[in-house]
Amino acid sequence: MANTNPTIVTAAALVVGVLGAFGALNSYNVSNNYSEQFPDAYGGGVAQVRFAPLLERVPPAATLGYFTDIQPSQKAYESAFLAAQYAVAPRVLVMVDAKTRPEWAVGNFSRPQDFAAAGAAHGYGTTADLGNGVVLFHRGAQ
Amino acid sequence: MGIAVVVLSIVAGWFLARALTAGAWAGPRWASLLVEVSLGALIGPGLASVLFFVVAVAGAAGRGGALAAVALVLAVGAGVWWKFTPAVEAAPPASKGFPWAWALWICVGVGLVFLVMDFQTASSANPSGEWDAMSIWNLRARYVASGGELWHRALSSEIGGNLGGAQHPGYPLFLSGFLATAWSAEGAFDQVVPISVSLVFAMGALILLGASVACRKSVALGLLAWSVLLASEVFASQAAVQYSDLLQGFAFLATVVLLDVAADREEPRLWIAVGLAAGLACWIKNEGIPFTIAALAVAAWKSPKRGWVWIALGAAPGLVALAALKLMAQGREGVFPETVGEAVQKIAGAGRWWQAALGFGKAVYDAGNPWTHPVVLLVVLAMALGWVPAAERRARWWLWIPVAVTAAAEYGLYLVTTADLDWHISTSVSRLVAQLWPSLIWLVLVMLRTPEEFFAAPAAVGESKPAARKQGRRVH
Repeated sequence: MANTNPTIVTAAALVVGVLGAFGALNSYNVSNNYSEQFPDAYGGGVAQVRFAPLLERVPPAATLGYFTDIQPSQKAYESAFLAAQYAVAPRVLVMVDAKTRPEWAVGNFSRPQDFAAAGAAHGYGTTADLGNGVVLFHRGAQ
Repeated sequence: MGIAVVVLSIVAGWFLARALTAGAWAGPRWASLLVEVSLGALIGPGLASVLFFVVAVAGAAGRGGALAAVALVLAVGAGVWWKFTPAVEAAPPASKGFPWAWALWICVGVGLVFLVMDFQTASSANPSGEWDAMSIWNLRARYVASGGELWHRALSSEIGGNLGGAQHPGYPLFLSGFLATAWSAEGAFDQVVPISVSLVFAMGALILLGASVACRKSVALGLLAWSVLLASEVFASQAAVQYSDLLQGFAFLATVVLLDVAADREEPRLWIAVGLAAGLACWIKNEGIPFTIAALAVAAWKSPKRGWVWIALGAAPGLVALAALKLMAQGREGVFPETVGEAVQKIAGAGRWWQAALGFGKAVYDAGNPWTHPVVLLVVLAMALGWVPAAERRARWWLWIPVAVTAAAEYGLYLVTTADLDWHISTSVSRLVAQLWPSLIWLVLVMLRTPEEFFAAPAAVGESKPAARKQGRRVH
C-alpha cells in the first residue's frame, strides 16, 4: 500500500540527505588513506623528474630502446616502463631485444651498478649518465 | 592558456546547449541554467576534441591549430545561439515546495565539500592520475598534441612496449583529444589541465543528474539525486583518476535526459541535441559504441517522421570521428577473440557467466559504504515516496533500453575476453558500474513520486488532475 504520510516522506528525505553527506565523508576518508599510503602510486611523478634531462638530448620524434634491471616477473616492471614512457612522450619506448635495436636507448635502473656493462650486454655504449638511474645509450658507441 | 581553452570550450558548449534545449526544462531557472551549463561541459569539449583531431591529422597541431579549433567551435556555438535560440517564457512557480528542502540543500552542500576535498587529496597525491591515465588517456593526448606525424603514435600498437593490456590503438579520443587541445594551446604538458578537465567532467555529471531531476520532476527529488550520487564511492573514487569512465557516464546520462525531454516535446532541435550527445558517447570509450547504437535506434523509433534526419545531423561529429579513427588505427585490441569459434568456446563456459555476474555484483556492493550505500538510499526513497502511476512508468520504460544494452554488452565482453578473466574483471568492473551509475540513479528517481506531492494543496475546483500533477502537486 502506498505511503501517504508526509512525516514519513520528510523523515526518509532527511535520512537520505544526511546519509548522502556521510557517504561523501566516507569516500573522502578512503581517498585520504589511499593517498597517504600511496602517493605517486605508479611512479609517474618521480619518472617525470628522473627522465627530464633526457628530453633535452633526444628529439620528440625519436624511438628509444628501453631496458631495465627490474625483472619482468617483478610487480614494478610494468609500472616502471609505463611511467618512463609517459615521462618521455611523445618519444616512444620499445623493449630492446634481438630484433628491435633502435639507434638510441635508455636504461632505467633501480639501483647503482655498472651501467656500461648493462648497456654492452644489449649492444649499446654509454652516452650519458643522466642521474637517478637513468642512462642514455647509443648503439655501437662501446 | 590551457585552462582558458577548457573554459572557452564549455562556453561554446553552453551556447549550443542553450540554443538546442531552451524552453525544454521546466522548474526553477537555476536548475535549467545548471542543466544547460552541464550539457555544455559535454558538448563543447567534445566538439573541440573532434575538431582538434582533424587539425592533428592535417599535421597542424600546435598553439595556432588548437586556438583555431576552439575559436571555430565558439563561433559556431555563438552563431547558432544567436540565430536559433527561441524566446522562452518563464516557468510558472511551483505551487508549494518541500518544507525541508533547506535541510537537503545543507546536506548536499556538505557532501559537495567532501567530494571536492576528496578530489583535492587524490589529485595532490597523484597529479599524473592513476594507471590508465598515465598509460592511455594522458599519454595519447601527448602524442596528439605534439604536432607533425606524431599523432599516429596515439593510434598505433607500438606504444605500450608489448605489455599485456597496454595497447589500445582503437580507443576513441574524446578525452585525449580535448587534453591535447588544451596542451597544444598551452605549449606544454601542464598537469593542471588533466586535473581540471577531470573535475569538470565529474562535476558535469553530478550537476546534470540533480538539476535535470529538479527540472523534470521536482527540486527536492533533484537534491535527493545529488545526495545519492554523493554517497556513491564508485563515483567519488573515479573523479580524480583522470580516466574516461566518468566522462562516459556523463554522456550516457546526458543522452538519456535529452531522450526523455525530446520525446515529450518533439522539436527538431531537441532531436539534434539527442544525436549530439549520443554521437559523442561513442567518441569516449568503446563501451559507448553499443550505447550509441541503442540510443540512436531508440531515438529514431521515438522521434516523429523524418526525425532521424535531425538525429543524424547531431550524431555526425562523434560518429564520423569514431569511424575515421577506427579506419586509421593500426593494430587490434588484445582482449577480443580472433575467431568466432574461440568466442563461442568461451561463451559456452558456464563458469565465466557466474564469474562475470559475481564481478558485477561485487562492484555494485562496493559502490558505497554499507550504511550509506546508494542502493539502500534509493530503496528508502522508493518505499517512502512510492512509484508514479503505472501509465507514467510505462511511458518511460524505453529510456532503460540504451543503458540495458550497454550493460549487456559490457557483460558480454567479459564472457569472450581473451585476457585472464579474474584480472579483467578486477581491473575494470567498478569503472563499468561508474559509467552506468548516474543514469541508473536518474532512471530510478524519475519513476518515483516527488516529496512535494505530499505537501501540495489539493487540486482547485474545476482544475483537472493532470494539470495539478504537471505543477508537481499531489492529486487524490
